[in-house]
Amino acid sequence: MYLVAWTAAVASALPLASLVVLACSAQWPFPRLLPSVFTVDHIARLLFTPRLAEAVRTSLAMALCSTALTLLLVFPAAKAAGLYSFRGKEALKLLALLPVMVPAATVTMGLHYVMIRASLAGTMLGVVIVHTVFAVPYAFRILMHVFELTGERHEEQAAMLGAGPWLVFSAITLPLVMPGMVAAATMSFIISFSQYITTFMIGGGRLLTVPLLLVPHVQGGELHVASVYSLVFILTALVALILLQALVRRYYRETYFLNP
Amino acid sequence: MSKINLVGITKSYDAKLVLDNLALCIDNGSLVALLGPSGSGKSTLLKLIAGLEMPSAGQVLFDDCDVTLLPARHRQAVIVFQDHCLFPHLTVKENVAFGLRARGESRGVIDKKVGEILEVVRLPQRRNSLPHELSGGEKQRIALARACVLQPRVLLLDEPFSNLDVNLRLSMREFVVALQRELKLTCVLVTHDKEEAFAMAERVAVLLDGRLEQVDTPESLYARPISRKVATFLGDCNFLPGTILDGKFVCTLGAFPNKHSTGNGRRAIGMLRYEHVDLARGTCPTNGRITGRVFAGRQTTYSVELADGTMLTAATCKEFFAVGDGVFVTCAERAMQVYVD
Amino acid sequence: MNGRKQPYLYIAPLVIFMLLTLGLSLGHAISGLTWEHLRAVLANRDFTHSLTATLGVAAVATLFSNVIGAALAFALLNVQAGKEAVRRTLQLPVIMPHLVVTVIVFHLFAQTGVLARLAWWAGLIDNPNQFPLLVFDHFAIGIMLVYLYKQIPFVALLCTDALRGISHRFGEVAANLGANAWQVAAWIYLPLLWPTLMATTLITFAFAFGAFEVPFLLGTPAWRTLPVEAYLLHINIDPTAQARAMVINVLITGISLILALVYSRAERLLAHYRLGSGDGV
Repeated sequence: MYLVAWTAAVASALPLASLVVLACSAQWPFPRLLPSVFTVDHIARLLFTPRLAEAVRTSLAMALCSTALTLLLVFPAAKAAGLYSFRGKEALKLLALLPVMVPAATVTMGLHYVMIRASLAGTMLGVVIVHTVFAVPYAFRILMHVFELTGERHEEQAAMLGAGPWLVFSAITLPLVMPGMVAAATMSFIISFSQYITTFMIGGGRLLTVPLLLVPHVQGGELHVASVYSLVFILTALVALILLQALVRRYYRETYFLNP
Repeated sequence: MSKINLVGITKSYDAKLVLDNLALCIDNGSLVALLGPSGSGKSTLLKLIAGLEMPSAGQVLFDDCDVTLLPARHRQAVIVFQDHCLFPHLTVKENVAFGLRARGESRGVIDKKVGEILEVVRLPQRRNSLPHELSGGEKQRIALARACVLQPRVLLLDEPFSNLDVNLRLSMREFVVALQRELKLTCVLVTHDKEEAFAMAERVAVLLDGRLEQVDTPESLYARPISRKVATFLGDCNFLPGTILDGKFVCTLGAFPNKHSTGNGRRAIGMLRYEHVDLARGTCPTNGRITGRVFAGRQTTYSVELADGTMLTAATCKEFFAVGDGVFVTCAERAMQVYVD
Repeated sequence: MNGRKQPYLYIAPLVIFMLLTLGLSLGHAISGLTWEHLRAVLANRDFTHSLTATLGVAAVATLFSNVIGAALAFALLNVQAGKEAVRRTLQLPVIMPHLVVTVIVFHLFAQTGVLARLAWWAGLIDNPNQFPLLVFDHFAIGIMLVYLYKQIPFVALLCTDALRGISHRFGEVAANLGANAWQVAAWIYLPLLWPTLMATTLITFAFAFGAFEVPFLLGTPAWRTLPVEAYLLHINIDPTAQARAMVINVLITGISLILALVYSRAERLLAHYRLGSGDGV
């Protein structure tokens, strides 16, 4: 059993390692097992271009906006669904779930026409809206589960102690669901950051993101370039997420869930 | 510290009647216990007083002011729950200060009051701890401190000691009673534990199936349960069938005076507590035989079979009998409570 | 509390948003639907081939990823030391964007890829063309490898979490009554795991069925998966082609809605099981 487990672990990590090796190679002709030219020069050449900078900026901006919009929409709905039972709750859960089941490309093609009509095609707002649609199911599921776990006992207690709605929200509700918020925000961010066809179609080629920069090189078989951009892709997302989590931790002490 | 008045309180959840036309008056500064089995609606009643739920009908009055529609945060009626519900992300100090902070008290006032109440509950050294670092008893004391520091109009306790082990429970009981007396708080304690209700309360209200069956001092309640239902709930008693004849209740153990002097020939039930069954060693005529015996430390419980087949349970610590012994069974006249159908 | 009317206020923003986006998109597609276009699409051999191929690829990928993933989760049950480390490493494929995984698969499995070079080095082949076509191939092996790399860990992690929620007392009791490891796994854990597996099967199928980028980049020129087919028609200026694209999209949506309904039923079962098992005894 240990063999199985460790094989799985290695198989998970190895591909990434190979990617790193690939990125560090300028020339790697067949049939050599290792690159003939092991260099990082070309990486520098590829990295410090205005195009890449623009792509990274746009990707980050989109991801942040999309995450914010997702959380704003999902928070109240997840709270209601997690704490209360009401007619139409199952329908709500189904509605929030749909973007997972219906293919992104399909939805986007339909939305493309709508966006054109609404003059949102080619705008940042249009793309952010589409990204949000696909982030909602994951954020909703996570936050609803968190609310189910915490319940509203603490809020009731706070109300009895005389707290008004704002104090209850800022001092009690938000800190207690913060881990869930962080998880939901992380998922939304990753989803938005990884979007290709949605940004491509709705953005109409006007908005350049890291995936959009990456794909043509894959299509062209230029793996050296593709691998470098892939690493940039992963690292940017990782750094952004680590910053986000550190920021949250600074303002909120770690909460401890009571095990009922 | 307020006088609480409940008038005609009814509460239904989805066509299920939980509280049925309740009326209760709680005097300023007194401790009343709400006693009843699980599911009798006790916790619901507390929530109604606190404003977390609204009654389907009836009124809640604080000092003769109608607060039925007043939301929880303005009522100053705080519930301390069984699981204390301390805010897990705030320190003890911040937890206790929460209500004062909500009121907008100044920093200095908050620190002073928090310091004082922590002294009262004897936990000043824990001010910077987080709830998960505290023991069960400490958590409960902090929850009490958090409520009491606000000098609430009424303190509501929802089975606060059920999660604690026995010795801790006893010391917490004394602690709460002392605290209530010192701060002169109006207090309602919800419990299913008879001993707890009797030990702590000035008056006990018995809630069965959503109705208040009897409200009395613990002594009166125990000695004279108003109905067979209440007697059954209080438990540890025998029921003897009999008849009313010539103004007396007649059963296997003899004739007893009772207040139901009317209804000659009516069927009636006599209630006799275990500890009021007197067993005498049977050298004189015996009318019963020991059939079972359970030793429980403080007392021994005996199953006694009478000559006519009636089974009784007796509890005593005075005499020691063995199974099979013959005994003479009697009881004091005043010990027999009679209920007419 | 007094939140009887409030839930509807709280859920309104999200509901409005979702209905507007999804509803308008679907509405537009349906409005352009005509019987002739529908018939034309269904009669088109490219379409039927694409449909069956997409379903096939999705089915195979789903089958393998769920079976292997569940098996992996069971294997991890019996592992004590280093369990946490293995779990952490398994999270890596789940986080990795599928575009990046595509690059990696290309790099490893192409005819000039790493595996091909290893084969040359081992003397099995003389030139790249002798290495079997794994990427851009007719059987979509490259595409499936991407799916498997991401989905096996996904299923394994979800099942591991679910198994953790199932009190291991059940296993102890079963062993006490004489069951061996296989019987415990098959008769106790597997049935309790079933709702989770149903959910993962549906999610993985939906993903494999509807993915765009991966088949777009690694697909063979001979046929395209359904979403890619729809896309190519969509960007065609010819209005007939665009109409056909809409038809295909509506059909895809229909299939997905059915999947979604089945999934929400599975979720309800899951909640029922979660409350019933692992009561922390």
